Amino acid sequence: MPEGDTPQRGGGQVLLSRRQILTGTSVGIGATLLFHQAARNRVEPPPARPGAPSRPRQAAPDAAPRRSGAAAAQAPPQPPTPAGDRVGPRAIHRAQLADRGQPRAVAKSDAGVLVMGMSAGGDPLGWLTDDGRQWVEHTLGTTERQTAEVWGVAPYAGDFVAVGATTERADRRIAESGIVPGPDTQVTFVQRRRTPTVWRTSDCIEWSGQSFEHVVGSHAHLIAVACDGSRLVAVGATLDDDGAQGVQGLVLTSTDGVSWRRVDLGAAGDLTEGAFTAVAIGDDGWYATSVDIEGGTVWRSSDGWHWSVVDGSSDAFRGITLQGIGIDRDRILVAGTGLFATEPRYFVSRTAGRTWRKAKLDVSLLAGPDALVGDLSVISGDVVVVGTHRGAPVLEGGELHAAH
Amino acid sequence: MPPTESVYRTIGGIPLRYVRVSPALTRVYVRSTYEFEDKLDRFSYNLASAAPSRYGRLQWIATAGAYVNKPGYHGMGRAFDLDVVKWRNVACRPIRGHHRSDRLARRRRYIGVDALARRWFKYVLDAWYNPAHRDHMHLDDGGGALVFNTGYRSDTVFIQRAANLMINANLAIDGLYGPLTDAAFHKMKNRVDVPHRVHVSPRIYRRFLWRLAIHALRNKPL
Repeated sequence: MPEGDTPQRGGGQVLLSRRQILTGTSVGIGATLLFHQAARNRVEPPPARPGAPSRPRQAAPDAAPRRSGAAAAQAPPQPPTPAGDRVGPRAIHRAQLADRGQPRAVAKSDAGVLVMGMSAGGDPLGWLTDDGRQWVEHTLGTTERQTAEVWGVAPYAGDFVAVGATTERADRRIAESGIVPGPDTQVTFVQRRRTPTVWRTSDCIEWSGQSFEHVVGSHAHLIAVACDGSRLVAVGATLDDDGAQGVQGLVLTSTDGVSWRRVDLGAAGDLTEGAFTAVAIGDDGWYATSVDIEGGTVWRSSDGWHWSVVDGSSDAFRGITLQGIGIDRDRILVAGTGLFATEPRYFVSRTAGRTWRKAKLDVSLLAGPDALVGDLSVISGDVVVVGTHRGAPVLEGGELHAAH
Repeated sequence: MPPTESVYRTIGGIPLRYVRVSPALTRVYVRSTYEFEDKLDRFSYNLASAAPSRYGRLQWIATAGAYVNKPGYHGMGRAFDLDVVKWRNVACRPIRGHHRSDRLARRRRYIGVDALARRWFKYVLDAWYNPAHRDHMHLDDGGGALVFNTGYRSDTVFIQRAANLMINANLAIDGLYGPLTDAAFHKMKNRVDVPHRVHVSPRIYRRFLWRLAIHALRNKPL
C-alpha cells in the first residue's frame, strides 16, 4: 500500500503528516469516546496519557468545534438521559472528525477506535484514536489507474480488518477533433475490474491489502465486515457487466483472514441495484442488512455460511435503505434512510428481526435532514453511529430508546 | 460535493412522481448534486421538445429514486431511476415493460427516451442491459465523456436494439460489439447524416442520439 503521507506517533505526542499540516485539518477532537467504564460489561479505560486524563462519561458540547484535546477534556459531564428502553449506564459520545470526508464504518480493537471512510478527494481515509480525544487521520494512497474504496471495518486478532474494493480502469483520451488530444481532451474509460479487497492494519498507518479476483467475477465490492473472534464474514455485492450497479448479494467468510470462501445465497441473493450493507454478530448468530431498489431487508445466519431472509423484514423496510446494524444482547438495532429522504431513522427489534419498532437515538448531529448516516455499530455496549452533518464527518453515540 | 446538496420536486419544471407504492400518484422530493440536477433538467427539456405535438404537453415523470443512501452512484447523488415519462396523450412506461410491448410505436418510444437520456448520462442501463432493469431505466453520470464506447455493454445493447427497431437490422442483443453491430451503426449514422466519429466526439454522438430520438418518438424508421 503506498504510503505518501504517513503520520507518526511518538510517546504521548501526535506527529502530523505533511498533508495534515498543509491542509490544517490535523486532529479531530472528540469527547471521551468509547473509553468509559461501563458497569455492565466492565470495559477498563486505557492508561492515562500525559495531559489527557481519562474522564469517563464526559461529552463535548453539541456541534463541538475542532479544539485541542485539553479543551475537550474540560467539557462538562453529560446529564443523565431520560429513562426509556435502555439497559444499564451508557456514555454519550461525540467527535467531529477532521477533513471533509465521509465516515462509513467504525470499529474498536486493542489499538483504539478506528473510523474508516472516504476523503473529500475520493481516497480511503481512516481516523484513529486511542484516547477518544486526539485523532490521527491517514489516507490510503491510490493511483490514477487503480483506485481504492473502503466501506467497512472490524476488529480482528488485535488488528483492524477493512473491506472495500480496488478498481482498475482503462482510460482513453479523446478530443472533439479526433486527431490530436490536447489539454481540452476528455476521458472515456472502461472499468476493467472492480475487485473485492480486504486490508489489515494495526495502527491505521501500515496497511496490507488482499484482493479476491479469483473468488468472484469481474466486478464486485465488499461493504461491511464483522468478526466473532474466529470467523470473519464480509458482505457486499457483485456488479453488472459495466461495473455500474449491484446485481447480487455477496458474502465471503474466512477463519484465518487470508483464505476466503464465497457463500451461495441462491436466488434470494438477487438484489436489483443493491448490495448487502452491514453485518453483525449476536449471541444467536449473524445478522446482515441488504438494500435493493425497493428498500431494505434483514438476513440471518446461525453459522455465517447459511443465510436466509428474516420473514417480514422486507415489508418492514420497504422504502427504507439500511446502512448499519448492531446487536446489543437481545436487541437488534439498525440505522436506515428513506428512499426520498436523508434524515436517519433508527429501528429496534427484540424478536430476532421479525418485528421492528421505530427508535430514537440520543444524538444531535446525526439526526434531522442535515445528517447522512453511514453506519451503526454496537461497541462495548454503546450504540455508535458515523456519518456527516452538513457535510462534516461526525461520530456520535448514545442510548437507543424504543419510540412510544 | 455533497450528494444531497440540491432538493427538488420538479426537473425542468416537470413534476416528479413516485408510482411504486400505490397506483395513486405520489409527489416526491428528490435529492442530488447540483450538477446532476442540471443534467436532469436538460433531459427533461429534451423530452418536451423532441416529442411530436400529438404527444401533448409533458406532464410528469415518475422516478424510483435519485439520491439513495446506498453504495454506488445513487449514494453520490449522481443517479436517477426512471419509471415513467408521461405526456398528455401518451406515455413511456419502463415500469410496465414498454420495451417489449407488442406495439412497435411503444418500443420505439422507449428507444427515443433512452436515446435522449444518453445525451446527458454516460451510464443508461435499460431493459436490454440486464434483467434488473426490465422495469426502469437507471441514469447516472459516471463513466467519463459522453461518447459511444464499444467497451460498454450498456452502449452496445442500446445500439443493437435501436438498429433492430429503426433499420430492421435483426441483430442479436448480446452486448458484443462485432462487425455486424458496427455495420448497422454505420448505416444508422448515414441515415441521419451524422459523421462516424461518435467514439471520440461527444458533440457528434449527441447529435446522432437527438436525430435517432426524433425518429423513434415519431414511430418512423431511419
